[in-house]
Amino acid sequence: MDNIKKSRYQTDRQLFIRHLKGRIFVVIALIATLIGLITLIVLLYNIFRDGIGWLNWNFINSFPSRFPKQAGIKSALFGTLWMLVLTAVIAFPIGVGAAIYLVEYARDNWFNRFIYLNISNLAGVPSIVYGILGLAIFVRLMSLGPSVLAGALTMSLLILPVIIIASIEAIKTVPNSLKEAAYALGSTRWQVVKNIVLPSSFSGILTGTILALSRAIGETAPLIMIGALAFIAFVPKSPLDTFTVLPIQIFNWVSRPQDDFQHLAAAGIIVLLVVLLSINFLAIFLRNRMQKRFD
Amino acid sequence: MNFEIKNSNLIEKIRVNDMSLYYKDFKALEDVSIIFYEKNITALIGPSGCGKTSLLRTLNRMTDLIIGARVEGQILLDGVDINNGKQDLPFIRKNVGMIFQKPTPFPMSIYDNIKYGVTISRRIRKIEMDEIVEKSLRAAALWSEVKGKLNHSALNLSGGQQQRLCIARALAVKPEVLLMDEPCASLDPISTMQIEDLMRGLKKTLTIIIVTHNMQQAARVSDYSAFMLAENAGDPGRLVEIGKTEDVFTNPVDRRTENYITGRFG
Amino acid sequence: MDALRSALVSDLNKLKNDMISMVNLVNRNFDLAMEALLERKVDNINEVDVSDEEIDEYHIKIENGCLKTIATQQPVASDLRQIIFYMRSVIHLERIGDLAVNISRIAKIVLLMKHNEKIFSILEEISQKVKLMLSNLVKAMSNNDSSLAESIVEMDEEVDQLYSQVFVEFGKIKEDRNLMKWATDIILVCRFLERVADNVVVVANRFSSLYG
Repeated sequence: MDNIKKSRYQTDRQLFIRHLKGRIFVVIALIATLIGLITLIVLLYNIFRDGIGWLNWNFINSFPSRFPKQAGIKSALFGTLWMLVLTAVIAFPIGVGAAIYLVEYARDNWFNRFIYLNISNLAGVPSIVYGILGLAIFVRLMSLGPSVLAGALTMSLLILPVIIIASIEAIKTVPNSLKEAAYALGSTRWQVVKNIVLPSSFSGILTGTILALSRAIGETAPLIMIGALAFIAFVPKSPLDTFTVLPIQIFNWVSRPQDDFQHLAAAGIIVLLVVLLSINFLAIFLRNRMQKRFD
Repeated sequence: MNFEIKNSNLIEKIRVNDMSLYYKDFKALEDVSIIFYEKNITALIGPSGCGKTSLLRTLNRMTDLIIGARVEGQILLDGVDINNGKQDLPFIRKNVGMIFQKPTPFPMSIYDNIKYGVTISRRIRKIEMDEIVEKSLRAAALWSEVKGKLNHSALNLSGGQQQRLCIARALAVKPEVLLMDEPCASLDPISTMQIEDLMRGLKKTLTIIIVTHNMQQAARVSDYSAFMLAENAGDPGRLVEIGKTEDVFTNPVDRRTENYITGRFG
Repeated sequence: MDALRSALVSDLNKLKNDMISMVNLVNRNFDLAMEALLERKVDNINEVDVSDEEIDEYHIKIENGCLKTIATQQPVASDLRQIIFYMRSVIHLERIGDLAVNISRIAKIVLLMKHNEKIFSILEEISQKVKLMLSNLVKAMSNNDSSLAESIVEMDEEVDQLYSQVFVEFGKIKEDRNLMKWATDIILVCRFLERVADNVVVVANRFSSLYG
């Protein structure tokens, strides 16, 4: 009788240890999450505390000035928006097109595998290198000068690998069985891509594009390289105008010794975050609309 | 080897002459010659790897989708060789429809699923499309179950319903031949019975070729049975025997057929 | 390549063994009945009755076994033909057993009566032939010998001829009333024997086409 009782107890103990290991893991994961979350909250709180006082309509509608009370980020904001739109317009079709080609049309030979490998590598190249490339080709060789267009082209190059890879992954998730079924009904290859592959992979593609654009907004180095300046006192009226962007302006203010400029920088950061969030909400909105149409 | 069943009432729908299939260097099918008769159900049976699914896929040139696949020989559909590269692929595939092992409804509404095949080749008025949708769903024995929710997502249907939707979708483009690749493999017994009954009705107007692992199903549902085999690992698949199903299952000619259907070897 | 469908193979083997037991039992009962009639062994009569019940039980056992195998194993081709052969043959074998019982009942009556040598000798000849046919059937089924089974069919002709002969001899004894009564019973026995032969032939035919 005693032996049975003892073995029961042993099993309970082993069971307890197993459960304990599980719980320890959960606690560690929770701590990791909390660290990230708390860091983010602390950062945001600091920014808000520093900048919210200086965030008003004047700030948004004024150009940079030596006098903090009169300085604003109008030129930087417009510059960022211009660049964002142009980059999206250039990079999105090229990126998605390349992804479609590589997955659906390209034959599986060494050349195409080589291309895919290099695209992955390009995603990891430091952004300053793109700046140098942009300077040489777009600004000088194509004589575009330090314009919004040159900046958008440079940023497009930068984020193109990310878009392509994200799109390729999204397109690959479309099950083969669905494509086969479409072919079996007599679709041409383009019809399969247009009616089956793209709609199914669109949300993945969109997500990848937004991530890429989000990265583009925050880039400073390549744009400095191609000549986006800090003290710009006008809004771009055409793609060939010179420009500046939010990160550059913010950096410029942070580098000044006066306290007031630190507050301005914080306000600028809040604006940047708002732009970022807006793009993401736009993406979510577009995604939901696509889903509803599909159902 | 050539197998012909002498019967003057039968019309040849598809005739395969000495067809061999290669995947790059690997020979998957060797010298297959077979006739599929109009308005009859022919079952392709055989152990895994014997090439029956590959044979099925050559009949609507789905093998073209596989990189490195090459088909030699003739595949005559109503007397016209569809393997000589001169025929329009989408057109062949409309005429020779295919149902797959796992149901593949598009992530669209039921209505749009059926609309898809029709609208890829022509424009059509809504009234006409409504008619086609109803006819196809009725032909697939699905109309009464979905008529109130045609604009609901097809993904909400059960497995058996999804498969019948795929059949309706294929029927909407008015094929003359229907290829079925283990259509009931992922379905419950009742859905399986429904689809078998459906097939019996469809064969009045269509020629049906079905690949199945389930021998009792082949015996229940088909008029003709063809047994295929790849003797050793790495061998190409070959046609061993074809005959009326009742003959093949009571008195097969070839010892290998007997061994397979009695289960004396896997 | 072996050990597949072991359930079906084991079912078929069981049924085959039961068939052979049954046909052996039928054969023995037939021999006992003929002995009772021709050699006046009265004690056999009871044993024939008892054994016949066993024969009937085998019939039911084998038939049920076949039904079960069909339902649970879905046999096809030669397996299916084998099972159907068993199901149909047990009917004929049971009939032979019943005929043996009938013969033994007549033996009870006929033993003490006056008889005619000629008719009696024909009866003996017929019974020998039929006995040989039946024992050959047992041998053929036990050894899977389809050519032996075919030879059984040929012997049926001779039995039919002998049967016609009995009627001829019957015609010759019309005057003696007592003799005629006895002869009528003997003709009945010959009829039974002829029916036994027919049943044996049916089974032998099916057997040889199954394994031929």
